[in-house]
Amino acid sequence: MLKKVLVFLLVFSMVGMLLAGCGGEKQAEPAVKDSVTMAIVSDVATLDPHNPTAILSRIVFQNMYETLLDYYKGEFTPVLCESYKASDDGMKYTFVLKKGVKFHNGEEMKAADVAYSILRAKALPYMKTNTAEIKDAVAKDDYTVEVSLTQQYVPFLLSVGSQIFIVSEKAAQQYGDDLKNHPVGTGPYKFVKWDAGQQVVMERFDDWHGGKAPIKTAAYKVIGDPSSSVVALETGDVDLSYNIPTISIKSLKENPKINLDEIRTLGCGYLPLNLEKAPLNDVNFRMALNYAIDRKKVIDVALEGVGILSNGIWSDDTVGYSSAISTYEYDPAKAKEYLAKSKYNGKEVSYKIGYESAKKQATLIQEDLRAVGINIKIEQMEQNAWIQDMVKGNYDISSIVMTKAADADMWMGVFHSSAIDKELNFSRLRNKEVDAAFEAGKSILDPQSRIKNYEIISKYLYEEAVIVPLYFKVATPAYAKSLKVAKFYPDGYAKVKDMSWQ
Amino acid sequence: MGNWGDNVYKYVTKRILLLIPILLGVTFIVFSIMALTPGDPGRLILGENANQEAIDQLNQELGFDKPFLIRYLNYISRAATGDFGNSYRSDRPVFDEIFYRFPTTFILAAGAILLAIFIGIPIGVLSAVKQYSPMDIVSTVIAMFMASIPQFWLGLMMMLLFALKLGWLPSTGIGEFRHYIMPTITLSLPCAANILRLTRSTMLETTRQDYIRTARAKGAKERAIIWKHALKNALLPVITVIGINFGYLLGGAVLIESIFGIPGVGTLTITSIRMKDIPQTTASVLFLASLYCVIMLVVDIVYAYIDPRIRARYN
Repeated sequence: MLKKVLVFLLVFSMVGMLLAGCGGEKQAEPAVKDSVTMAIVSDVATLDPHNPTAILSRIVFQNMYETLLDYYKGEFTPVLCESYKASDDGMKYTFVLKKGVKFHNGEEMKAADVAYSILRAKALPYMKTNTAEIKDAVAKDDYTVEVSLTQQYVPFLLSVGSQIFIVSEKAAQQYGDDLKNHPVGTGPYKFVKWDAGQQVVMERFDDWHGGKAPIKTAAYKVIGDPSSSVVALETGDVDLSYNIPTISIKSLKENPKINLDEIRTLGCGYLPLNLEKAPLNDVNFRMALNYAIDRKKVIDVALEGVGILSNGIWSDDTVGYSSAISTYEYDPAKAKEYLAKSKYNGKEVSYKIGYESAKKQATLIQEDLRAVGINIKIEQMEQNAWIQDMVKGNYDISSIVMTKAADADMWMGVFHSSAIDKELNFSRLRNKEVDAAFEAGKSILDPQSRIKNYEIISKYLYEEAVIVPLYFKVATPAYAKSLKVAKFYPDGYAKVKDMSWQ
Repeated sequence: MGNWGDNVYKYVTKRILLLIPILLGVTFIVFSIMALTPGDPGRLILGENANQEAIDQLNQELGFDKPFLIRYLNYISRAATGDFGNSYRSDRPVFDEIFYRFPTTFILAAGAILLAIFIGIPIGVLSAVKQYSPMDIVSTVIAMFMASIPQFWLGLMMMLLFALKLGWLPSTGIGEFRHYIMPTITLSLPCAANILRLTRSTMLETTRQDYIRTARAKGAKERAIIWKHALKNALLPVITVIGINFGYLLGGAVLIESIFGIPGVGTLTITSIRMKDIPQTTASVLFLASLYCVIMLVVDIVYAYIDPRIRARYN
């Protein structure tokens, strides 16, 4: 009897000791915090700014590296340059650099570094879409860089000026391939350490040409499970989380200690339709699909209301957007009309999805379509298998969220005929007008004419019901109320320099 | 016993040499499975928004465009010199990646298994001795519960209670002792439950044996009978289960790692599989397979040490 009691006491006191002996003391909070911890969903793959293999990597290193220009809400702000000029024929861009900009290794940024960075990005496969039109980058003198193009390329400032980060030529040559583990940039924060799989830590760079960022240290912590990141946010273990699951949105909004922002992103959620397969090769059937789906209900139910109804693939954030084009409203009666015209014989149409998160919206859409007489079979696939099927055109309908930079030219790889089987033209669209409009759009200098040019594409997509546009993705970062974030970019992320404690 | 020592040495050497064909088989299976599944590392690493040219170039750089057998033979020939390649994803040597994370996983696994042993075995023995007593019934029910509930639910519940409501422990991450408390307990409880139930049932069987009755008749102390004679025999199957569980924990409990934000071996393996990071996956699986083989070897030796009948077979 005594022995039994002793054993129990031993076991429970062991457990109790573990808990009590170490828990308790939370450090006294300093008057104003000088650090910020942010939760991200997975580890960064690399800190090499010309190898942005995942968005998350860029989120982190964009605090340590800078681009020539910053693009926000349609405006370009010079960051590393004082002024820029395009030549009259649009084939050359000249940048006059800011003087006295320091790298983290103490060296001053010169035109040679800029030219080097641009050419380095050009040589790497990851930035091909941005650098395809660049012919050469030359340092004319210590503070002037001239970039020459192979053809007129209007989105140059966006895709090169605001997306190519400037590295120190000296550091790049010193570290070679290892640059991805030793970032040396001009940004407001410098690299401290990267604990693989766990966190990246940065510290304020006091010699930053833009002054002194408000917060001293910043850490990006990897928390793979979205629910855990919510708990970590609520306990104060992290100050901001980028990885909020839809079900937690409501409770976080009601939490008085937490702010949850809804940021419209450039991600367009839509249903690509395989134009080469029956019955989708019939425009009447595609119109029926468009009229039959209650898109608002999909957003309200599948996305818990967190999504913005879209009228096409571009929002007014994207250059090339035109408010003149709209899309089809929910109208089951019209859907039935077009369905009748299409001679659809009732056979099952396959709806393939590659993400767990697309399941809910697929089920709702299936209901809507059944109501007008279209039979859908939902096939949930593993992501890699799904991508293969999409590229090869081995599907009827699918669901995707496509995010491209804020210029219509970036969508060439999605709707140009040369992108079939090779890039992202899952719709397998082959139309001469659309192709020509994409090609022409690169070099139209007058903004209004350029928009008119891309209207051709939007109009075609609408009239031929090439896709079913659903929504624009809304990012929902959540953070402590006392943390002030001046701005979130349309990818849903913020730079640490724009954060401060109140 | 000197003879036994030599025999054990020979036995161990033979078992370790057996590792080589086993691991070769493992690499072949991993390569085959990766080759049969769709997807290529280029597309997976660059993401779906990349263009085909970039993907092809990356695939070529990684050597992925060559046929299966050539890739496999290249891999084996380089592995024989100790070069297991670099991870496609991070470009770091694959075993560096594993060993960087292994200490964390090891601490969790060792802590969990020790805790499981110290909880499971004593309570299991007592439950068997006092069969059908209130204590027995309560611990059996709790053990069934612990063995059945999903680990991630348990982990999240603990996090909600101890980190959020009570604020005693940090919710995620590693670094200090208190970071390891919740994940270790979460990992150990289902394991403890299994050990408890198995110990209980083997003890029940053992204490009914004739030799126990003889020992009692001879007047041996009850305490010695239970904890020395009976337990030693009952432990044999339990040791195997402990070994298997320990091996499983060393492979990295992916769900727990994900919930508690722990950079362990499990997450590395899963990510590398998803990214079709063939060198990393192969290395991770090889590592796990070797660990298992070693653990099973240790289990076998412990068997021989505990049970003289098995020891006799080695002489």
